[in-house]
Amino acid sequence: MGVTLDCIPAPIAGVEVELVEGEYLMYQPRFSRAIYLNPTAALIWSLCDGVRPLREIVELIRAGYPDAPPDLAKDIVDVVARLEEHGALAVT
Amino acid sequence: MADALPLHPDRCEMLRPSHPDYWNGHNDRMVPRFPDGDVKAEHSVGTAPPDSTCRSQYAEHATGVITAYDLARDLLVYGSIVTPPNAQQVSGYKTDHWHGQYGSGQWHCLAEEAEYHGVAPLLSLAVARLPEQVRSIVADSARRTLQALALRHRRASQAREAVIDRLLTEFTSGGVRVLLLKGAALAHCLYAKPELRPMADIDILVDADDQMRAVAIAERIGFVFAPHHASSFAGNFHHLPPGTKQQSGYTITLEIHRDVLPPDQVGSITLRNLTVPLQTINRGQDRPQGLALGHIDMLRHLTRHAFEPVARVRLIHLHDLWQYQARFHDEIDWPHLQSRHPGVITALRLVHYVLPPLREPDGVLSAVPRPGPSGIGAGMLPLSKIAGAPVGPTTKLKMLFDPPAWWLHGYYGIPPEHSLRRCRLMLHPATVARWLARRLAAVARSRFMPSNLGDA
Repeated sequence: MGVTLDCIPAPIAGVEVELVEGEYLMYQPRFSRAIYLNPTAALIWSLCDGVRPLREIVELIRAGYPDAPPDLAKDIVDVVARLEEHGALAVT
Repeated sequence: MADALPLHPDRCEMLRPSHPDYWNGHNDRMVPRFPDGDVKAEHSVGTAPPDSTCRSQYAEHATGVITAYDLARDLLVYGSIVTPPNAQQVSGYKTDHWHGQYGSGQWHCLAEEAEYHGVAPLLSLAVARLPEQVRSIVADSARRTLQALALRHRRASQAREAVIDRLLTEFTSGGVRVLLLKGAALAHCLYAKPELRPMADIDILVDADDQMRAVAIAERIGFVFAPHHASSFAGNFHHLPPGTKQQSGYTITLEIHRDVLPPDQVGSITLRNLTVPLQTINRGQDRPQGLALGHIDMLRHLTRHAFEPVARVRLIHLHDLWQYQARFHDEIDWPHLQSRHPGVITALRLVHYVLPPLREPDGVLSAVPRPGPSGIGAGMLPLSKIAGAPVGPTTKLKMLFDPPAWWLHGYYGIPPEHSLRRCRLMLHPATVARWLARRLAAVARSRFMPSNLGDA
């Protein structure tokens, strides 16, 4: 399904995020891949708790970053969609 | 609060520890396992991708072609002599060394090379300790891939150690004497942390009479054993068919040995014919201790294991020997080794063609002659690989009877100062004949007397 602001993203069990030399490394054992997150992507990830809809995540980030660009919502949706595509998030 | 960074999906980077799409060539394609699990990488030996200068092959001593293999072993050496927090430039490893020797091609291929050789965690540590002006030339992709691999190995190690904890506890309760072999022992007695020593399997040694009790205990904690060895050529193998269980998302494989040495090798190391007393392995606070082979038997095992038939001798095995001989130098009975197991001394010296001695050469581990034998780092392919290689019979015969000189010296324990003539003319052909005969006998036996788990 496409990711929209009404979706609720939840972390997939077994996915781990570690801070490695100042960068966030996301890893899941069953995959032969790892994902590096920039700090903002890591922040988005940390807000995906399986309860909070994407719309609320956008508002939280917008409140914390008043100077964020106008297309913030689109960027957040895109990041969540990519994380879902790579098996790090489940979106309902 | 973090900076308000613009959000771009492409900054959520995707990395893969393996890069199968880099490899366009299909010559001698290997499919190695990741040491700690069942995720496979594809690794082509030989033809480089047309858009890259990366040639992931062993470095011939005389060719002068610098490859990722050279970079890997250079970093291994560097990492072993540079310790935090004062990670400063070490004599011989000035910035120019790294800039002059290695280019983007070698760094680009480093992670793949590191994973084949089982040294990704060590190299990740070494890269982190490079001076800043050197780290700036390391591509982010190379550095991050090593980090990702190191993370993976750390998680796998945690899962594996938890299983070993359980095995040791249950074996003790069940009255089965068990030794930790190879990586399971070395991870604690030789490496600062177990995660720095990747391994494919947990290898343990029990008495032949205790094998089936060991299987029963392992099954109780979740291991499922294959009914027989995958190959019909296995015959009376030195360990039972492997058992596997899932732990924290990783596949943990267990091999229960009754003999440390495989039947293709001359000699045996069992619980009944140990040369020296065992050593106790302290596996950390609140973890059950383990037992391992004493130094002499450990070195006998590790040297034989390192020089088993394999396309390219893995750096982790050479690193084990390299570190072990230095770490325990003052405890090892060198006169005993020299008189009873001179092949071990030879193998330890041959390691010094790949990794330089950590101590001054002495009477026993004397300096190796230069230039050394050809084919440093290369091995003889296993018989099964030779049989299945997509080459003609002439090439197969060459693979069988003309393996690299460095490997022959190591496998047969012939000092590098000595000629291989007798070995090539007599010893090695006789050994190949013995291997083939054993396999034929195993196949014949399996046809007429099918064997299953416990029949070994």
